[in-house]
Amino acid sequence: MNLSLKNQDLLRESPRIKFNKFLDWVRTPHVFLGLLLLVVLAYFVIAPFWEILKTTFVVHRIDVRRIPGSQAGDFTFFYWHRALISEMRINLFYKPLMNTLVVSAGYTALAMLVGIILAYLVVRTNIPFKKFIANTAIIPYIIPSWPMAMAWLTLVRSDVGSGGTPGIIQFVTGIALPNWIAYGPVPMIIILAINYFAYTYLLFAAALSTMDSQLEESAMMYGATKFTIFRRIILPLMFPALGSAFILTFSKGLGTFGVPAFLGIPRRYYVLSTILYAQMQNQRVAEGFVAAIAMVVLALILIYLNNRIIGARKQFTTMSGKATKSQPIDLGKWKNPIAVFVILFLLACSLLPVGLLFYQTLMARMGDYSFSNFTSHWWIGTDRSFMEGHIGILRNPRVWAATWNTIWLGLFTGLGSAALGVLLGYAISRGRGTKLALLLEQASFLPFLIPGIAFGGIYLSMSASRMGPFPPLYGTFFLLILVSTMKRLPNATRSGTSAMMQVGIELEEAAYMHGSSWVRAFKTILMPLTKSGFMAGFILTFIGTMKALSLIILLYTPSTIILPVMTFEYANRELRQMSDGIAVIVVIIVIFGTWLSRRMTGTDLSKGFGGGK
Amino acid sequence: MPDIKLTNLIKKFGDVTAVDNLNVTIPDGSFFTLLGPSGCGKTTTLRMIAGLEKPTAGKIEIGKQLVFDSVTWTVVPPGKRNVGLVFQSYALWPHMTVYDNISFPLRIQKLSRDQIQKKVDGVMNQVKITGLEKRYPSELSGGQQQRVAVARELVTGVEVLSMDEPLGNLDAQLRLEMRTELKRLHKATGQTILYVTHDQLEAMTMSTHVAVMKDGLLQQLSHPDDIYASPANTFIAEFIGSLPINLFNVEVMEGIAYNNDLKLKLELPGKFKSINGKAILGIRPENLSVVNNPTKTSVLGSVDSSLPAGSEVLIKVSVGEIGLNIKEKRGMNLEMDSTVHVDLDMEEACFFDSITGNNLLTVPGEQKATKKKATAQ
Repeated sequence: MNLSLKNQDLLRESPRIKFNKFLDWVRTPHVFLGLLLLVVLAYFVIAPFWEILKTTFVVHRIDVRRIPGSQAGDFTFFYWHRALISEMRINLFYKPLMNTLVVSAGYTALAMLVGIILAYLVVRTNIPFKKFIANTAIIPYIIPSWPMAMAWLTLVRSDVGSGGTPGIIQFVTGIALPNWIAYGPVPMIIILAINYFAYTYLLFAAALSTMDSQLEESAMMYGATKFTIFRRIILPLMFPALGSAFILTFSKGLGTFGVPAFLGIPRRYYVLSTILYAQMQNQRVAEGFVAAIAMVVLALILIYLNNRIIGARKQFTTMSGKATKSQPIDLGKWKNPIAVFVILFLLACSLLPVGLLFYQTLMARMGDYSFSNFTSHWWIGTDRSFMEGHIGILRNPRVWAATWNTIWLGLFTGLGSAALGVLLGYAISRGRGTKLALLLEQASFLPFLIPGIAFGGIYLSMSASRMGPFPPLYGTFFLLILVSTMKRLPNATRSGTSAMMQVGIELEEAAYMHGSSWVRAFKTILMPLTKSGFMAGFILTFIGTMKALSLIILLYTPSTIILPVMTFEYANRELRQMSDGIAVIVVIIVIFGTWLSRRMTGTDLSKGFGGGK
Repeated sequence: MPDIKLTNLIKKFGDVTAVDNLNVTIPDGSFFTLLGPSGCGKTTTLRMIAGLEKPTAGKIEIGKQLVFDSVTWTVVPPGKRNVGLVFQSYALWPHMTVYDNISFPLRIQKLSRDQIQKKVDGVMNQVKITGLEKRYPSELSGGQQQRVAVARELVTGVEVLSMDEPLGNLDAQLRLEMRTELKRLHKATGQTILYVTHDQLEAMTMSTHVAVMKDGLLQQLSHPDDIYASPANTFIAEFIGSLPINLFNVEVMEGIAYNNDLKLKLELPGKFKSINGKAILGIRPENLSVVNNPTKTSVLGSVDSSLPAGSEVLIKVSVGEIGLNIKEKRGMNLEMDSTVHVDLDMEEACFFDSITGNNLLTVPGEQKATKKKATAQ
C-alpha cells in the first residue's frame, strides 16, 4: 500500500537528524550514566582482566636473562611453556591444580553431607530446639575461615617432625597427632566444609520446605521405610537444589586463600591460590598469573555447569509453589540424643574456634596450656622485655592503627561499592534489554571470576604507574579502597540492580512530568526508595571487607595494614598469641556487624540468602 | 486553551511499529479517549504527547507550541509541555505523604510555602480528600490513591490532563463512581482530558470523542454514539458493546438480503439502497426481539439458552449454523429447544464489505461531524 511508502518517506533521516538523535540518546540519564560507568569499568575491571592475560605472554624485565635473545616486552610462550610443559610443570602447575581439585571436591562433599543432614533434621523431623539449631547453623558461615584454621592448629598441632609447639590435645593427652591432621588436605577439607556447609543447608532446607509432602506420604502408604523414602523420593527431587548448592560451594572455596595458606604453606602443600601468592612473592608475576588464569577457567566451567543445572531445574514440576505443611517425622527415642549431638557439633564449629583462639592469647608461653601459664600480657601488658618487645594488643598502637584502617576500609569500600552498585543498578535496570546494559552487567561481574589474590596482584603491578586519572597509587590507602570496591562490584551490582528493579519507572516519570531534573528525581525519589537496599549492600560489603585477606595481602604497606593481614603477618612470625588475639577482634567485629545488619535491614540469613555471589 | 495536533506520527520499537502514521487533532476542551485492545499503540501515543516517549517521526503541537518535530528535531521535555499525566499505577511516591506528593510539582516551581499550602488545600478540596494530608499512599484505599494522583496533576493547573487506564486498578463499584466524578471534573475545569483505556464502556460513558486504534492504526474517530451505531468496520463493531454484535454473511439483491443457508430473507429500509452483492450484516442484540408471528424481517430459530440477568434476559437462538444473541426485557422466559421467530430491526443494522470488513455506508477516511469539531485526515 502507498501508506507504507509514505512511512518510508517520513522515516528518512538526514545526517543532522541522526546526529541529533544520537545526542538525545547520550543525554538519556541511564545511557549517559551507563557510558560513564563503562569507562570506569574499562579502567578498573576490564583492563586488569586483560592485563592478567597479557602479562603471561610478554617477557618481563627480570626474565630477560632467562630467555635467551629476548627483550623486555617481547611476545613469548616462555611462561606458559614453563608452567604447562617444562620439567617445572609438576610443582608449578599440575600439583597445585590437583591439590585444588582434591581439596575442593573433598570439602564440597563433606559440606553437602552435613548441610543435607542438618536441613532434613530441621525441616522434616520433630527434633527439639529447631530455632536454635537453625540460627547456630549460620554462624560458621559468618565467621571468616582463616581464624578457624588458626584455631584448628591450636587444637591439633604437635611437636612431631618439624618441632612445632604442641597443641591442646597433645598437651592434655600426651598423644602427638600425626602431621597430616594438622597440615595439608585433610584439615583444609574439614575447615572449609565447616565454613561452607551453610550453603547446602540453606538451599536444601528451602527446597525441602516447598516440596509437596504428598509425594512422600504416598510412598509411605506403600510401606516404604524412612530411609528408602529419603533415598528414592526426596534426594532425586532435590537434585536441582543440590546441584546449585554444589556449584556454589565448590566455586566459593576455589579461590580461597587464608585456609590453604595457614594449613598448607608451612608444609609446602600448595593449591592454586597459594602457589599464586608464592610466585608473586618471588617476583614471578607471569607464572603466578598462569595459576590465576587456571582459576578463572575453573570458575567459568562452574558457571557454565550452573547455568545448565538451573536450566534443568525449571523442568521440575513436582514441586508445588505453596508450602505444604507436612507431618514431621518422629525421631522417637533418638530425638534428644540427636539434638544434643547436633547442638554440640554446631557449637564446636562456632563457639569452640573462637574460644580456642582466645584461650591461646592467655598463654604466656606457647604450647603450655596449664593455668600456671596464664597471663593477661598479650591483651593489656606493658612490659616490653616480655616477648620480642611487644606490648598487649589493646595497648599496641600498631594494632589500633590497623583496626582503624580496617574499619575505614570497610566503611569506604561499603560506601563506594554500594554507591557504584546503585548507579550501575540504575543503568542496568533502566536499560534492560539494550546492549549497553548487558555489557555493564557482564563487565561488573568479571571481578567474581578473578581470585582475590590475583586481583590484588594485578593492582599491584598497575599501581606502580599511572592508572587512568590517578597518579601511581602504590602504598596509598586509596589503592586498598579502590581494589576492595572493584572486587565487591559483582555483589554490589546485583543488589543495586534488584533494588532499582523494585522501583517502578513510572515513579521516576511522574517526577519528570512535573519538570523535575534527573538529579532531583534521583535524590528525592530513587535514593529514598532504594535506601534499604543500599544499606544492606553497604553492611554486607563492610563485613566482607573485614574478612578480606587475599585481596590485600600483596598490596599493604606498614602504614596501610589491616587486621586480617596483620594476623597473617604475626602467624608467619610464629607470634601466635598476637595473631590469635587479632583474629578474635576480627571475629567480634564481623559478628557485631552481621547482628547490626539484621537489626537494621530485617534480613534474616537463616531464612535464605541472595545466591551468595 | 489549545488543540493538540498530531501529524504523521510514527513510533517504532525496533522492527515493531507501535504507532503507524497517526494524524489526529484533539479539540480543546474535549474528553478525548484513545480506545483499543492492548498493544494497539494507545498508551504509546499518550506517552509521546506527554513527552515520556520520543516519536520515530512526525510532529506534535500543543496549541501554538511545537513540542516535537522529527524534521527539525525539536524536543520539549515533559515538564515544559503543560500536560499532566495520571499513571495506571498512580505512581504515588510511597515514601512521601499525600501532602508532599501533591506539593511536589509546586516545590519544583519554587512557590512560597503559603502559596503551596493554599493551592494544595484547594485541589484536595476539589477532589474530596481533605484530611488525608499526613497519610502515606499505602494507608489509602484505591479510590483515595486515585484522587491523590489526580490532585497532583491538577495542582499546577495544567491545560491537558492525560490519564492512562486510571480506573483499571479499582473494583467495579468504585469504577462506576469514579466515572461520574471524572465526568464532573471535566465539566468543572473545562480542561482537555486525554484518556486511554481498553474498556469500551468507560470510553462510551465519559468521552466526547473516541478514537479507536488497532495495531498502531487509527480505525475510527467520532462521537461515542456514532461509533456504537455505525462502526467503521467489523473490528470496531465487535470491540464496542457489552454484548457481542451479531455478524453474518448475506447477499443483497434489490433491497432484500438473502442467506440461503439460514433460510433468511430480509427486506431492507431505503437507506441501504446503494448496497448490492455480498456483504456482512451486523446487528446488535438489543435490536433483535422474539415475536410470536413471522414478519418481513424475521427468521426462525430454536432457543439455545435463555439467561435471566436481572434487568434483562439474554437469549441465544440458533439459526442453522449461527447463533444469534438477543437482549430482551426482563420477564421473558423461553423453553430451551423451543422454536421461535426472531425479528431484526433493520433500521439499526449495518453492512460491511465481505472482504475488507469496512462499513459500506461510511466512505473510508470520511468522518461524521460530531457535536464538537473532530477531525482526522
